[in-house]
Amino acid sequence: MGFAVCVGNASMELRWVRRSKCDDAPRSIPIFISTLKKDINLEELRHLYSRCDHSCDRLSKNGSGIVDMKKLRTAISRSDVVVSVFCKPHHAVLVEDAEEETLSSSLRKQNKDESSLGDMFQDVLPLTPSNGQLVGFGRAYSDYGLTASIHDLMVLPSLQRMGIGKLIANRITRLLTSRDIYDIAALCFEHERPFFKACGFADDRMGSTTMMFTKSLEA
Amino acid sequence: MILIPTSSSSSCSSYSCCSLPQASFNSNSYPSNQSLFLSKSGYPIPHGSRKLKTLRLRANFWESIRSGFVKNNNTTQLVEPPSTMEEDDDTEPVLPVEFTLVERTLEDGLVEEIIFSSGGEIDVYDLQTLCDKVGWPRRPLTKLAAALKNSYMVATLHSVLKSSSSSEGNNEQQEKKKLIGMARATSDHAFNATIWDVLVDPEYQGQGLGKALVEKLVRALLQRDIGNISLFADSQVVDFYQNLGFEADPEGIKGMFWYPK
Repeated sequence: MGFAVCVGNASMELRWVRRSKCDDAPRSIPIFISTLKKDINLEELRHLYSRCDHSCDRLSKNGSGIVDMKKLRTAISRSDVVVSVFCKPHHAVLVEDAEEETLSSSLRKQNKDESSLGDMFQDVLPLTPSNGQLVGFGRAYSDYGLTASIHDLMVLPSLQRMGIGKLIANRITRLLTSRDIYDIAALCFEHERPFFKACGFADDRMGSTTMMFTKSLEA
Repeated sequence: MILIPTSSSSSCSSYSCCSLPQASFNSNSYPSNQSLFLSKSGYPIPHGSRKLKTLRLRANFWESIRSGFVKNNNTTQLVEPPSTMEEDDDTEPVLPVEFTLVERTLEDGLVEEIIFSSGGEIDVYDLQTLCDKVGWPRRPLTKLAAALKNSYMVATLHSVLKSSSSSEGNNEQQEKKKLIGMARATSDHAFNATIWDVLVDPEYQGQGLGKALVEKLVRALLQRDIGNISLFADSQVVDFYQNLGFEADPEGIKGMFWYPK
């Protein structure tokens, strides 16, 4: 996946991720990983939730699909571990255009030539949370003793399959195990299971059944 | 008495140290149209020092132990709960609650009260004894104490045996308090909660006490608008939770656990 350059201290890191297929988009792009809560812009985070089609309320019966900002603020402040991944805005945008490649590839190449100077300038500027775009996120809350639960792990669909999600999962588990917490759980839908499996998660070896409260509270 | 772990504070202080040099790095070097501390919509994200919070918790803890010696007969408010943070002005603190679930007279004239309590203090040694009784593997006491301190909600059941002759004064000799049940939940205080460690003394099982514990915990969580309440049930208790309104693998959601290679 390329090499990692450590900037500052352990809460921030600059890395390169590589995509397997190579269109006009650059083969490897720099990403910035932060574990600091103050690097999170709530508006951007809410935007990411909707772009990833991820709801804070896991069960479809709960919530309306729109993230409540006040609750999001509380959830972030009360999460013990948060990991945010940023990339340069033009990398995120460029990749999204790849979906419409067949329709307007020639047009896009033209645009690319025109803005290549701007892109070059962007490429030279170091990536930071303030000039980068939030493209990946994950958080966990724990009891600081025995257990932890990972939630809302998501990566922008157009930047998936580049190892960003795995980076986030590994960072979260690393932070938790460094605090001596080894009972780490993640609730996931059926389609998310292969991803978590690849990150080192598995069904409970003790054979427990996951249950969620689904009864609506009678007034 | 409760063990206050020293290990958790050391890990907390190293966490807060990391955030300090960061502030100077970001704000000086790069002007941003997107402010770091305050988003455009004006939602500041509190990132108060963890070390301060631990110290504040300790002060409240000792206060609660001191004032906890005052005998209470079913008063609802005890002491300031340690879970309040001054940054979270808008979220309700978890208020301590205590009330009698069951009161009955035993054959030998003793009166037994089963008291439900939430937000009160738990003796870690008592809990260890209870875990042994139900046959759970032993866990380190410091970790247990830390887990209890940092859980969003801890509900307990105590059995208080009173001699019926003591109607006023001098209760110490005739009152015996025993921990007989516990349930706790961790949460992000907004969307998700996970219930762990539900246990009831085998001598008191089959009386609906476990049901009451979980029911009240769930009710309290729902009242705080926490919609995703999950737990991981052993095979023999799946029916127990189903009767309480829990569903196994709803919408295909399963819990996966991390296992180091």
